[in-house]
Amino acid sequence: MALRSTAPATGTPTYEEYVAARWTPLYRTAYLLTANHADAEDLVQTTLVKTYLSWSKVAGASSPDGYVRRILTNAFLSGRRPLRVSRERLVDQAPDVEVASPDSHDRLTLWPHIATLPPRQRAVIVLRYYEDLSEQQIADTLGCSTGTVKSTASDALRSLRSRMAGTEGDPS
Amino acid sequence: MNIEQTLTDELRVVAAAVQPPPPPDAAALVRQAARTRGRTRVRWTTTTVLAAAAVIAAIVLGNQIGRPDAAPSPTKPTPTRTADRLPVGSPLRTYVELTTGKLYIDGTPESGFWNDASTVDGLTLAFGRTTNASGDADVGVFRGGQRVGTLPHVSDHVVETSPGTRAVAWVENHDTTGVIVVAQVSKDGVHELGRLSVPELVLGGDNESDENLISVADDGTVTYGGILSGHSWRPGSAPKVADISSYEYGPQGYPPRAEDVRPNHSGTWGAWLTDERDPGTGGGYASWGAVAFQQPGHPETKVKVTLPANDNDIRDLYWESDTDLILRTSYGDASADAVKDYVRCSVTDGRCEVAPGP
Repeated sequence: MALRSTAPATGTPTYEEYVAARWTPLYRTAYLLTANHADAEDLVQTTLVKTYLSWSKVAGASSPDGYVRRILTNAFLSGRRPLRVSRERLVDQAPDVEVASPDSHDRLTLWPHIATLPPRQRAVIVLRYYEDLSEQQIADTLGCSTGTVKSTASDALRSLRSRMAGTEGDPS
Repeated sequence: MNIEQTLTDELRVVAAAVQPPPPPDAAALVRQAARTRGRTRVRWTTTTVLAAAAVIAAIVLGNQIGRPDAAPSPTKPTPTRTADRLPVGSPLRTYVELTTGKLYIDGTPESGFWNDASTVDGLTLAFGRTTNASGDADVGVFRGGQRVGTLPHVSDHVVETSPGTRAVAWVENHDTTGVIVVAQVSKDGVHELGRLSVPELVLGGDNESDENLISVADDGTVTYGGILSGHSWRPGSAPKVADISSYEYGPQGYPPRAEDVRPNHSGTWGAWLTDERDPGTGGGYASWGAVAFQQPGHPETKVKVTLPANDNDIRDLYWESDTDLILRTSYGDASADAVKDYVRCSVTDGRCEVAPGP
């Protein structure tokens, strides 16, 4: 099957070039959202398939990366939408999460707790503190108001502080 | 510990340590995209066939109506309306022009810069565009179009309003404790009735003891609580234990698969969006093609309205009054969040109209 090149404009990458160039950063963001390699790979592939389906819009967007980031985040959230009446499962300890370097794992105090935040809180934390987006950019990405971003981030930070306090108080 | 700096540092460490597998062959992604398109066509065809079957069934059903020997219908079908071209109705009662931050109430521009506003029975709460020294947005309080006060330290942008709009309550976040503030709202101003410190309000949603403000009554009695306990408190008295089980699972009396039901202020009707499109397709925002509403516990009152094709990209809904819904519709481009139209639908007759800005 012939690949469709929908980027005749000078300086605009083809879909193939975009995939090659953005695979690693997208994968890293996906890993921070999903906290495991299998889900991260699925998420990026789903994102890139959807990107192809909308390639003319992506290539023509003022910020193609922002557009694709929105696809990635929405795919992550829509794939993990909880039932409305479901309750979060409360656990005593943060689950083990995969990190490439065991040495660095020992030094990480917040990452194990980030991985257990509800998906939307985790998305806001990753977009804010890894992607370094402003509240307005996060609101644009998630399709919500800046007020919602602010309150979600506030809830996440409060939760992380609470978990940290619990960990620090744990004699083990 | 600077938690925000630590977050930045740790996320970068984790991301840098991740060794991604080799990227997939772009051709394989394209083939997968082609299969996705194929599945979409199958779904569309199936939907069309089912819709055609439904039309035939409706015709058959319609032919039976009035026949003495016709078998009774086992259940009453939900009236479904597809609005044609929408007429233009009266302007929105409350409107924030997002490009300028200008707030209009009943067509009159108000001073200040605002992000959002809502009106219930003549009481308008407007959320400010700028934040104060505490990082909270000021909430402007308007009664009948006149500004009567400001709520300066509202946590999480949530203000509870009493059924008769005579009282409001909100939470102030004081780091180690939350403080419930109750105030009376009259045409002369906002008068604080009392404050109650509740440390459980700031524990966070993952703590089992976490509590939230739930409601306020016209006499200023607030209800608050969480998983472990519920309380009521009226300014000037001591908090009491209260049963809050009715708040546990959201609005009751609606179809089990209705998502995110929004009751009107008096709770006499609830509305929800339906016929959702895939929010991930095109990297866009979630959108819906129809709105449904009914009285709680009365499925026979349920009506579903499908908007005409040029206005059926619904992004959100809110109540303008107890009988009128406002739908925000967009351009059909899921990547854009720009509002194209505001559509007002009446629950009393199921009719919709475009509600222009002032």
